[in-house]
Amino acid sequence: MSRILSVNNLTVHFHTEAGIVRALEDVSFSIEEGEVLGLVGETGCGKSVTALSVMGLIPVPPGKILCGTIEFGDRDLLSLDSEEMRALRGKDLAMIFQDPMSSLNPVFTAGFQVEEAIVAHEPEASGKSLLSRVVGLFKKVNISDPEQSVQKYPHMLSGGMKQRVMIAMGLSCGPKLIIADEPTTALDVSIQAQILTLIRRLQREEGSSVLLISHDLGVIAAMAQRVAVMYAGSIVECTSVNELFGNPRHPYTKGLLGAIPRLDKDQKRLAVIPGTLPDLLNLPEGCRFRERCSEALPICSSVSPRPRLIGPGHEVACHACFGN
Amino acid sequence: MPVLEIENLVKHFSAGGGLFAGKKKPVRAVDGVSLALDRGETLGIVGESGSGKSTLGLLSLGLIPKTSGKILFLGGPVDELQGEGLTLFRRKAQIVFQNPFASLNPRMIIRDIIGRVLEIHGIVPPGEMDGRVKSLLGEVGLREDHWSRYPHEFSGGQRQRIAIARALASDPEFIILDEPTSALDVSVQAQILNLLQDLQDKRGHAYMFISHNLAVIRHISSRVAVMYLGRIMEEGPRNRIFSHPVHPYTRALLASVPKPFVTNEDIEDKVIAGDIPSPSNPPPGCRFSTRCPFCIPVCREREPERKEVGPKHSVVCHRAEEWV
Amino acid sequence: MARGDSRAVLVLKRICRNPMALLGLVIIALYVGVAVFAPYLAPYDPLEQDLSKSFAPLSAEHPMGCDEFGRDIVSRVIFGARTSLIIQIFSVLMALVVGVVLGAAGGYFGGWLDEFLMRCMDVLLAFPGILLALAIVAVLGPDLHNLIIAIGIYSIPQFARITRGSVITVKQNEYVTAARAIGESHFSTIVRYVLPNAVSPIIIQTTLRMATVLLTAAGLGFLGLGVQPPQPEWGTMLSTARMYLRSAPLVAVFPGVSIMIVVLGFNFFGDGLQDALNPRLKD
Repeated sequence: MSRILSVNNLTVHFHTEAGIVRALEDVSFSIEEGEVLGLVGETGCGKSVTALSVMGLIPVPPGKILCGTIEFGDRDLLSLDSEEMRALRGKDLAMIFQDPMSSLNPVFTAGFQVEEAIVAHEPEASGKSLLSRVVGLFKKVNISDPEQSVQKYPHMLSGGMKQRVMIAMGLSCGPKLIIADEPTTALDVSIQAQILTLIRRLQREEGSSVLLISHDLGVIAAMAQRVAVMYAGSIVECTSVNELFGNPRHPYTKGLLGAIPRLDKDQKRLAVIPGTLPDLLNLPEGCRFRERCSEALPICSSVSPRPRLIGPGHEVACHACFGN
Repeated sequence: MPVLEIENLVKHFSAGGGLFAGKKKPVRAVDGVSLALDRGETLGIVGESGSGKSTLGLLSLGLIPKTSGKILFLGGPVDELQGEGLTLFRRKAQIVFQNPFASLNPRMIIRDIIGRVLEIHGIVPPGEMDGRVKSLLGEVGLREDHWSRYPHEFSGGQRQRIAIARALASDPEFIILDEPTSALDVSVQAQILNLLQDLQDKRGHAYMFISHNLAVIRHISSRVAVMYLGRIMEEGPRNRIFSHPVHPYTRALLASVPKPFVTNEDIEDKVIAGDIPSPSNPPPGCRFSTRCPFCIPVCREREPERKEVGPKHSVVCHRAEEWV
Repeated sequence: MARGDSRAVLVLKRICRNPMALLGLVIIALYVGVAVFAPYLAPYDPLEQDLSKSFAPLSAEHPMGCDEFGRDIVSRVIFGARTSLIIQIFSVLMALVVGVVLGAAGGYFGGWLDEFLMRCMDVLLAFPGILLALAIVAVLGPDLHNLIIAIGIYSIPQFARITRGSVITVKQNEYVTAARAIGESHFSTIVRYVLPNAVSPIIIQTTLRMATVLLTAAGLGFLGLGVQPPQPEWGTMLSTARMYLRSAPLVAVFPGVSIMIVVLGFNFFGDGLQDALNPRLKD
């Protein structure tokens, strides 16, 4: 199994009116071929910025990529110019956005938009063969009545349908890596399961890798093989999904898992992480989680912990976890 | 006697109209709902989009006019209230909305947002108002000096606390909570849910907690009603609903929702097929018939009646007896 | 938790960053200053005639020369500013009050009240603005008071429409429903919750209206239906100068340019205000 994506020491800042927002700080992770990596975290943790950085969609300015590399195959995405990135996007690198309502253009039919996605990378495709290819894609993503549906406008489609169209668009050129940013958050519960199983089935059939971004730990548990937990712009823990839920080590991960209401058991009170998320304009010295951490050591206020192996395939960025 | 009683409540929204639009079918948001809310209890209303749960909340407070049916507060009809009677009702029945960024007047400082409630209902003499506002802020976990600030200076979680303080100010008998934590991060949600429970323990008011999140409903409710397309499909004590769900919709929902801690669950065969029908065009017969794996011919012809399947546990399904 | 600037301060900061808006603000400030302090600034009595100085050329004593009756043009321009400002303030104020009340009522309550009020506004709007003002003045008689009334009336529908639109948008916010839920009366809801949030488009409209009103007053003055001579008013001055355009063009230039500068000033400022107040400013 080869490595599809390798993000190394990625640091991204945004220069705003109010100051510098340190959105990502020294972020490193990798995805193997055919693997689903879940990226989980709360508001401001940087998961969307990470996705946009890989896609090359960070507006510069106000954004600024201070350092790091994003290796996709054998190329560093950050060194590519806009034309080269455009050739990759939609072809080898696909993205599924959160809100299908606003991601589809309301004035074109669904079929037309998927055709466009194909033609952007295969200019010779046209006519009947292109149309039948689109119908085939619609069938693949389980859109009912595909021949009719290609002619429908987005407002005629339900939320679940629209998301399937987005997925069809993303898959149209057989991508190596799919970035799914909260793909089911805007959908109803009963539709969510449909879309998740669809993504999983397609991922297995095509052998694509998936970077699945979500704040919903249930979605992560169902879909991911490995998980990276982000907090205030850094990755605090990264391990297999079973290990994450069975043996979480970072205090934030533990706190997060304790705060989720459970369907399978009663909890008198939910465990609460005291305090609030730090202001990204005004981050403290040392570990960003220190102010809310019950296990903080003196070193945590001065030195920012770097990810270290604490078990096979299990990395944690925490001083307290290593006892010193 | 129950604090709030609803009998056969119906709310149809007329859609469109005008000279050239012709007669358009009304949106049958709430289509015959009956339930009761007892003193001090938490009734969880669970449903997806189109279920009518939010409309139910607004109707219960008389904030939108009903089409037919009865809404009784402590035995007296709500919609006939005017003038002083209505003001008294508004004092005893409160609501917290979903979107913390839209439910507070951006032009009012916190002291006035909460203070207006005290003023309108004459809860304390003018001299004691500031003191009362500060103590309410303390009760919901905010600092007293926050009273002079504007909503935009606060985070989502803090704004929701302000909204809760506003709802508490008149010491109501019951509070409608319409997706109060859906827009919040997991860790903030835990804080708010704990706060709501603490307040209820202390003050003894009832909650009608509306949400699409099954785990949250399970955590906070004592009784649960499951809504689908404007009707209640199943209703009963919290433990019964979650351990022994009877209605196919409830069962499918519980089975298909992705659960944290259950990794790589195979939910493929638990998926509920099809899309949620439009509330302006509900299917004939049982509303769930188009997606129900147990649908038989009678389901498409006649709406099922409510049947008792256990102590205070009722289900609206033709095949209810088979499942018990 | 971020301690932000109050909204007014944020708006002011944005305006200061916009050079055109700042220019507009400066022009308006100068204009108002000149109008208010006219008696102290004008070197001569604007009504004082001296036929020996008829059409006197530009000089140190008369930087803008003299008109056909030997009156100092600088003084007439200065006092003309005062007249214009009076017309603007009172007519816009009248239109604002009536328009906002009607628009807010229609927008908030909807239904037949809204239909009725909007149809009334449509009737007023059916007339080209200046013709309406003209008709009213023609009926009531041309003098300052009637001019103010006429311009006020013809400006009402714009305020009503803008207010109505803004109120309808604001009304959809949850905090308005929340207001009713805590027991606020309709009146209280409109005054405390709806209007304060609906105010931005109304403010912008007010600023831009000031420009339009000035032009209309000048136009009516030009047609002889506005302020009557010898009272100095830029439009009227332009009208009389028309006859002497060939022989003494400068007499027309100064009032004309004054109108142009002030109208531009209000427009620049109004545009800048619009940018500063627009929804991007939201939290």
